[in-house]
Formats: sequence, structure tokens, C-alpha cells
Amino acid sequence: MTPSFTRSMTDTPFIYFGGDSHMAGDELADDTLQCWKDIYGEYRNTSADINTHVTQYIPAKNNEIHLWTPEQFQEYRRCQRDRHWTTIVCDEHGIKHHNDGLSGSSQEAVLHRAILSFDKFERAGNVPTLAIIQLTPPDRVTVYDDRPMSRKAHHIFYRTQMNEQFGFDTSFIFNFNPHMTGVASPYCLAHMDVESETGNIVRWLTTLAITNSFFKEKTGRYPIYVSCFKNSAAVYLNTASNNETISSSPGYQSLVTQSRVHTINHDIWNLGHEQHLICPGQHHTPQTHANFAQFIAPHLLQELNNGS
Amino acid sequence: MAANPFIYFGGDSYMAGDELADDTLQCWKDIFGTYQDIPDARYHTEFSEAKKKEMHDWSDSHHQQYLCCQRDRLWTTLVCDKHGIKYYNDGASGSSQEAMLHRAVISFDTFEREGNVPTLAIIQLTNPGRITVYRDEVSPEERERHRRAFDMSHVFSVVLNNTPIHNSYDFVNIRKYILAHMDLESEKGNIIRWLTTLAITNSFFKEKTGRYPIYLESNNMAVWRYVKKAQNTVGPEYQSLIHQARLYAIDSNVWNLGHERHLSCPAGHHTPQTHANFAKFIAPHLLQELNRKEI
Repeated sequence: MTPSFTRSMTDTPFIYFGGDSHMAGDELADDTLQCWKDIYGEYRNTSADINTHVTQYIPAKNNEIHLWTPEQFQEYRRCQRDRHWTTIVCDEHGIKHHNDGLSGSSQEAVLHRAILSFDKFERAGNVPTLAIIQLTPPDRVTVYDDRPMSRKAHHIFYRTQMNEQFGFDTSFIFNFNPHMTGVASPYCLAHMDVESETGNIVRWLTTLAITNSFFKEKTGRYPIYVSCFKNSAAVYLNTASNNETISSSPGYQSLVTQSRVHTINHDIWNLGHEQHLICPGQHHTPQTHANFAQFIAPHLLQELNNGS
Repeated sequence: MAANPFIYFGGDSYMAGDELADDTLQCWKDIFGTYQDIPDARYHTEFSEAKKKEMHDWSDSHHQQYLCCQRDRLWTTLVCDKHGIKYYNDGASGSSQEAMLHRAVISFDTFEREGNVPTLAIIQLTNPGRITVYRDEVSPEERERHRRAFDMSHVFSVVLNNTPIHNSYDFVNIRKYILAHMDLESEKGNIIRWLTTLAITNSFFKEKTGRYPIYLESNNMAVWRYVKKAQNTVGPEYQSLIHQARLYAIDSNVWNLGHERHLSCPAGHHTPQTHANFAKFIAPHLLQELNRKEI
């Protein structure tokens, strides 16, 4: 039975969600597009070939939506939002929430946007009581633009994002590099020349450690981390543990401790817990989101009741 | 005052004591002889080479003696030793604001394991034109002598000015990386990164020490010089960053190492005399802060 709110639960629970495309609801509304129906038609057990997805589907999608009216974009975003597990569970239980997810975000970018959002919450006198932060892969790096991305709202990428308020962050994904164009590709390659995969993990652990402090200060408690795939944190740490020099270093052990990755419960806070097929671009399907919303509800309510 | 006050200091070369012991070197005496009003460009060329040569065959104890001299002349040592205050100085040359926070994360884990956590953090502000990458390993020498964790910061202006870089990395790769970064992130973008880091730095120390850190400037009006460069960055988002960085809480008239400056070291750092002056000046303010529970 799903527990309901109790007296001990904060009077006005307010959850802050942060993350990348999985939190932003990427692909959740794509099955409404004609090009999706033509190219894919159905969800499958495995994602599409990345080259097909990038060279065929994405251009077809851009072609289909680039003349959309603002109302059509709004409808697309509403569909994403309504199918997202955060909306499903929060709406069902009357929990106020704010979803700051943005595609491609690094862990640093997630934190940058949280700073901007929490300043707004503090000014409005209504600060979230709990933060649920999605873990992103360590191989992402963020640069900062002069203008907040909301000023680029005309760009098709931002028009399809469920979150309409952005920070100054632009993140780049190292393993996506072959498909990058312009200045991003040389930047990623140059970065990879001076920071190894293990260095990426050191950066990621550092960011998690300070993410903990940020939310502890703002909400009074450490954030809950949610994975998108089974034990993803362990997969990342495994890469570093293969490097004996670093895994035996006390400094590295300090980062692991301060990142609190040991407190992550992957059996529960894992969007891929009960995966139902997969989207062509490797995101979870609307059905998986619905399953997870149902599965996570009692755990979420329990966390809100615990309050610390 | 807390029963056991314990201050954590973080910063770059100003906090690490760069140049404070250089006047004990024969090459310094030969090339510069005295402190002057302005920096001397020969530091990065003639002196740098001569220093490397002079220190090359030093024994460990000779290196220790040099580091000891630096430490003894730093304002943090002068004021804390005089007033019997426990402290830890995590300053490392060239650090970005991000690198300072990275080292603080590691140091505070050690403090927590030992059950002795600082009660106040004093963090020096660095230039936003710095970027940090992370390495796989840190040699014991780097950890001991240079207080490095995994961070390796790079200073954008070094590439622009073509100043030689002396570290273990391949300069060609570093230069390529810095230029690629500068292609994507403008000077204003640097400032946004810097403000973001300050906002998180506040949260980190608030959690760990129970209060926000005190920020220290190394030069007059440094903060406002940086912020001025980004003043055309309009919008509520930028104002949010300024607000969360708590720049308004910085008292440049007090927490400023250049408050009563006495000449300059050849590379632009403050002289031993400036450190001594500042130690004397800041002592009552520091004691007052230790008596305060929260800002």
C-alpha cells in the first residue's frame, strides 16, 4: 500500500529535481512525431545505432518541428512533462516540485543551475525541502556563456526542452565527440589531452562532494541521488579503481567519502529499476517512467516523512 | 572565542607564500638585490632559470629550510603563532577558485576523520582567468612541497603573454587546451564560472565549519574589478550568482593583504614586510571574528 502524507511530513513539501536529458524528459514525446513513426515505429529492446540516430533521425526531427507554432512546441513539452516520472508521482500525491533537468548536463552544470534556482526560491520565500539529483556520467565538461541560455530560446534545442529556464552552462560530452562540429570538437580533444578518464572521475567526485554541501545548506539535508541505469556510480568508480595509484591514494578515498556515493541505494533510486524497452536515443520509455513513478512513490513519501 | 579555534586558509600563490623566501637566494641578491615599487620582468626569464639552477642540488633539509622561511614570513603564520591559534594553510601557487575548493574537500575529510574540524575558513580570492583540470596522481613531492591534491590549474594570461610554464605537463597540450577553452568561454564566462564556484564555496564551508568563509583579497578592489568586467551581463540569473557568491559581504578595507603595501616582489607578490604589516593589522579583526558565532 502506498503510504499517504502524515502529520510529520513537512507541511508544504517541495522537491527540487536536477539532472541531464533523463531528468529533462528527452525522447518522452518523440513517439508523437511522424518521423519517429516512419523511422522507428516502436520501442525495442536495444537503442538505435547511434550513427543512424544522429545522421537520420535528428535531422528529420528538426525538419519536422522547425516550422512549429509556439503552441505546438508547448504541446510537445507538455507531453514530455506529463510522461515524466517526477510529474507523475508529484502530481498524484500533490507534491510541489521543480524540475531543472537539461539535456547533456554535466554534474557541474546541474549544480550551477541549482544555484540560480535556489536564489529565486529564497527570494520568493519558498525553498525546496528535498533535492533529488540525477547522476550524470563523469565524461562531461561545462563552459559558461555570457548570456543565460534562455536568451537563446529561439534555438530548436531549447524550444524542445521541458525546462524553460536555463543557466549559463553549456556542457560537452567527450564520448559524443565524433558527432560534434565547430569549436566543440577541438575543445573536447584538447581537454582529453590534459585530463584522463580517471581525472574526469576526480572532477565528478569533487562536484558530488560540493553538491552535498550545497543542498545540505539550502534544504537542510543531503540530496538523494538517482541513477538512470543500474549501479552507474559503481561503473564509474570501477574505472578509477583499476588505476592502482589513484585507488590507493588517501586523497582519492577522501573524495569518495565526501561524495557520499556509498549512501546511494541503486536498488531503489534507479530509473532503470524496472526497464521497459528503450528509446532509440538510449533514454527510458514513457512506460519505464510510469513504472518507476509507481515504484518510487512509497519511497519518496517515506523520505518526505523522514525529513532529514 | 571557541574553546579550540582552528582556522583553515585556502588560496593561491599569495596564500602559499611564493617569493617570501626568495631574498635568501644568492641569485635573487645578484639579480634584484632589493625590493622595488613594481614587479620585474626578469623574474620569469633570467631569475627563474638561475633559481632552478641554484636549488637543483639542494638536500631535503635545505628545501625544508626554504619552505620554513616562507611559512614563517606568511601573515597567517605570524598572526596565528602569536595568538596561539591552530591553523592549516592549503594555499598552492596558481590555484583557481575551483582548485581551492577541491583541496578543501580533501582536507576537510581528513579533519573530520581526525575529529578536529576548523571553526573558521579564510579563503583568498583568485583571478577568474584560471581553469583547473584533474590528474591521476600526485607525487609525494608535489603533495609535500606544493600542497597539491589532484588539481592542476592553468592561467589564461600565461598563454596570452607567452610566459613560460614550468610544470610536469606538456606545454603544447596545455596551450592548445587553454586556447580551445578561451574559444568557447569569454572573459565574462570566466567570471560566471568564478561566481558559481564562490556560491558553492559558501555552502561548503557553511556546512563544514558552521559559518560562511571570510574572503581575503590580495590586491585592492580585485573583486570589483572582476565584477565590473561582467557588468553588462544583464538579467536576473547573473544577479542571482552575485547574490549567492555573497560578494556584498566582502570587506575590502579590512580583508585585503594589499591594505598597507610595502614595495613589491619581482613577480608581483607581496613582500615579507607587507605580510608582517598585515599580520599586525588583521590580528584584532581576526580575533573578533573568532569571537563571533556567525555572520
